[in-house]
Amino acid sequence: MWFLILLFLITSKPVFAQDASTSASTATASATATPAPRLFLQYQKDYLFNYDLYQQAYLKYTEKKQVYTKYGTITTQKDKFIAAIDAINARNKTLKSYLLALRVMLDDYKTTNPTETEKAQIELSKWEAWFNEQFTVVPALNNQDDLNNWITTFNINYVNVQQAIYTALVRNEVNLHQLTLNSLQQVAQDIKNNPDIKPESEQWINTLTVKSDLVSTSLGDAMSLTVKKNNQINKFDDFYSSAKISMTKANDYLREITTDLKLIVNKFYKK
Amino acid sequence: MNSDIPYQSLDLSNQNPLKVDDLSVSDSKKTKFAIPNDPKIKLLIILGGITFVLLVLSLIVTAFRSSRPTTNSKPIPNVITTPKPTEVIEDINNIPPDLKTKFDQIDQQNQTNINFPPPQIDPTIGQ
Repeated sequence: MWFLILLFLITSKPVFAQDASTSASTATASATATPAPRLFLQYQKDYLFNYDLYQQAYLKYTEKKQVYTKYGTITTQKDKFIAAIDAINARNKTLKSYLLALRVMLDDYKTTNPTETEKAQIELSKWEAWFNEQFTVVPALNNQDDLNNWITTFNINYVNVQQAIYTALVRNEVNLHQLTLNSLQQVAQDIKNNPDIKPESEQWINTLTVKSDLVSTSLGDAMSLTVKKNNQINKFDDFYSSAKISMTKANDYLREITTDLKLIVNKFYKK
Repeated sequence: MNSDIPYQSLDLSNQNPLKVDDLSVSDSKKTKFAIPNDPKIKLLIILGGITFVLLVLSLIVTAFRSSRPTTNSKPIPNVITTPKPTEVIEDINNIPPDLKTKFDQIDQQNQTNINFPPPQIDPTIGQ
């Protein structure tokens, strides 16, 4: 019997409790043991879990605020204060988990432009660390004046947080389109080198350089929008929608190049 | 009294200096519808005549062209045509297998829609 118990203990695998906060804190962007897309999905799940908690805390804070506005008593003011602290904590966790998931997502197409992608990831991790610090700072706030000071600091930093987030989003999509363009250029070269495809195809392939340049220009325009202007230090310039237009243009050109190459191969391939 | 000078009598129509000449009356009758001597009016009438002639000619030419059968007319199609799609039809088989694999990968990349928007938060909590 003892032998059976010992055998059971040796062969059974340990069971870990699922905890969103601890699982997020142990992750790193450079984890290569697990394929990137699966890791991102895990962090995305954590983020959505935290976001749900934030929305509940925010609802509770809104109710307490309405009650305090209506009655204005010391008790209601205290309740409102506590609810605000809880909501701020939940909000900080949400933002931190989002930044982490976004940083991991950048690994998907990092090979296209590793230097610039790394810069974006470093900026995201910097703000992750700042939110990490706030998990000890915010619960220690015990009066409205301190809270107001903290809110002022948060609003100033949140401008930079938004800048980092949207820059990373643009960088990720630009990397994807650049990867596609590189793939298409490789395919064009393969077509030229394929002995079963007539050499007349080459002159048609050479006409695609114009569209390739248009793709590069559109991607360059998108990235140029992420550069922060000097007159917008305290205000976030929502450049993402304009950048999205440029990236959509680039995607359209890439689709056209793909179609053209398929037609060229279809026409000149000797079966 | 000079006998060569004929007796002027008002009754004699030929001798009456006040008499309006019959010829001039008849001439005026004849030239009632004649072209006046004013050059401006003459020019106006000529230009009007040319315009009228051109108008008549244009009407004749238009009538002639509409009655003439068209020689290069194309038949109007009876079948309602549908536009061909500009996208490559997916069942193109004339692509080498190795290139087809790469094209499939590229198509997947082209269709990838990265959608990870940041959370909507209220930065004024606590105020």
